[in-house]
Amino acid sequence: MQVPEDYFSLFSLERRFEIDKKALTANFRALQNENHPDRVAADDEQAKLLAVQKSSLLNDAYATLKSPLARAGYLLKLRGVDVESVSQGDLDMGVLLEQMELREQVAEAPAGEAGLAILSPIKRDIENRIAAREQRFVANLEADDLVSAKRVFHELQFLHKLFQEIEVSEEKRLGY
Amino acid sequence: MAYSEKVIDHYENPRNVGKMDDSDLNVGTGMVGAPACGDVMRLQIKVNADGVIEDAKFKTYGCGSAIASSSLLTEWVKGRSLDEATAIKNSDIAEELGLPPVKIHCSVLAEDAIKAAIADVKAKRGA
Repeated sequence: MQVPEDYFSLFSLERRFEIDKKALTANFRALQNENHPDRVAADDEQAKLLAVQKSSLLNDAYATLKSPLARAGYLLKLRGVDVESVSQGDLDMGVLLEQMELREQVAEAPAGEAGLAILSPIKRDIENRIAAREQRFVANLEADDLVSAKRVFHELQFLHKLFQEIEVSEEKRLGY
Repeated sequence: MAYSEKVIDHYENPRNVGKMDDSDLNVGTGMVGAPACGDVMRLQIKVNADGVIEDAKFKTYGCGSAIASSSLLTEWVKGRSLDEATAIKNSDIAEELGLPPVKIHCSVLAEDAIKAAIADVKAKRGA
């Protein structure tokens, strides 16, 4: 395994948001197999260390490309955009109002299992919003509009975070 | 991570939660957010004829530190002039609440919110 230029080339994928997930997983498994630390001679400490490092790189790369949000952030990073630093100017007022409204809806869900019927349609709504944002992200990247792409990425961060929180809340309500 | 007693107090008994009429020319609204943590904060101030903040309200969806930072800030700004309120630094909030380094950004968010609210009311009043 050569040191790859980026995670996409590591898995022989094109550097874009929409990827072939089956190919990603298949290529990941193949590389993982090839580089498994157990395949190195037990007394070769150097080779073992290298294999562990490669395996860790593979896992990071796979996790990054598998998650749509992490993949979007990674694409921006590859273009030299710092997604870690956010100033309020990077955020659109509309997305903050949207978050307030969605979170108010979530907060209104009654406690216990009774709230599940409220949360379920909110989740569907968030999924639709995520899908629409992803399309805009792809269009922004294609147009080389990195400022807009970064803004949409932050909107996706908000939406994914809220989605996760709702899932945790659902699990608690179901007593998991 | 353990929250300080002051953070817990503000979290359990948040001061000045609510909403003011944004169409009122004497009301300034600051909306800010932190995408990575999903926090959103709305901070509003009402300014009287003398330019003094007579009321403040907030609504924050976020962690205990973000809620406590905005709750504390609404207490602090009441009775202050806009210039005095502008002078409040996030480090003052962090110190008062005993925020650990990983939660400093919550106090930064609160400072951003009050600055945005002040800018909003100044723009509305044409000052």
